[in-house]
Amino acid sequence: MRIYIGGDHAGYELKEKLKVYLSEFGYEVEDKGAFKYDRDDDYPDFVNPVAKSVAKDKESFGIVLGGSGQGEAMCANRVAGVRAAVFYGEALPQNAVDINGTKSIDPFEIIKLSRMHNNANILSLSTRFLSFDQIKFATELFLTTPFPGDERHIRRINKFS
Amino acid sequence: MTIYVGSDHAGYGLKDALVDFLKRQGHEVIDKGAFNYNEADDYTDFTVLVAQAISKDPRKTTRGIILGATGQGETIAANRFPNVRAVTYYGKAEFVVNDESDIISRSRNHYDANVLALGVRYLTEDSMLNAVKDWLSISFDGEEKFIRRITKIDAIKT
Repeated sequence: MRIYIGGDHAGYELKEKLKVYLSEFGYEVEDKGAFKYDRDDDYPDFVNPVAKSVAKDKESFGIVLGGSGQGEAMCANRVAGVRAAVFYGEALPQNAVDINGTKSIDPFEIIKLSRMHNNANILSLSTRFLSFDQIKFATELFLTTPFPGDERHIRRINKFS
Repeated sequence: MTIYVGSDHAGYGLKDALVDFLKRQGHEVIDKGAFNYNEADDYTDFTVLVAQAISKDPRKTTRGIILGATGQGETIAANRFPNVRAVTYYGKAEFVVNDESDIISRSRNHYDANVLALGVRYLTEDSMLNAVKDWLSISFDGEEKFIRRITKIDAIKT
């Protein structure tokens, strides 16, 4: 499975570490930059190439790292065929009921739902609000959660793709 | 401000509280639905209505707020539209780097976000209204580097 990865100065250090981590798992990782730390660089310059690559390479995923992850996702989602989800922190459902009606105590649930409901193909991670352990766990969870392809979710996605 | 509001079945239960709050704050609210609870309705339909409205009228005094289960699908769909800068909020974040502004302030200060997609599954009514109140009160300072980045996002053809 190919993974395109990218991020600006805010994501640079953890991007470099995450690349190594993913490669060790056997993923084929293609880095779209930044290729050096430059505190004045702009996230769209790296996120746009990731987004375009993921949109073209249908079996691939993208991981982008930035300050909050929000601008990165905003930028990626401009590209048709991209569905970028943001993860900036763990969150427990208030009603502790998951999609099947059973209790959920999973603080990473939002990542699973981004795959299962939205078929997200890019994960946009915040380096300001997440530890590297959380980033590794979130990425792995994202890449290993399948999209079951429920009809209602496909219908909703097709309405904007 | 003029605020467009939209919600599917997942957010429907909190939409009235949101609309009432916004009106009490003195905003003009344009509700794009849903207007009744239908668990089979699609977030895309209401998201597109809000996003289209903002896309056509991207003034500083126009905003959109969309309620959904996680806010993620709503943000994805909304950001397809030119001039829309949508962010997802599903709760407070814990800092790992000191002196960083929170997700809500950052969404306004760095990105001039004009659409807020709320993941109501993870929010109480109070936490939702507090986030909205903060979000509406923060103006975009227009720092050059942020404008430059937003311009690059706007240059991407949807």
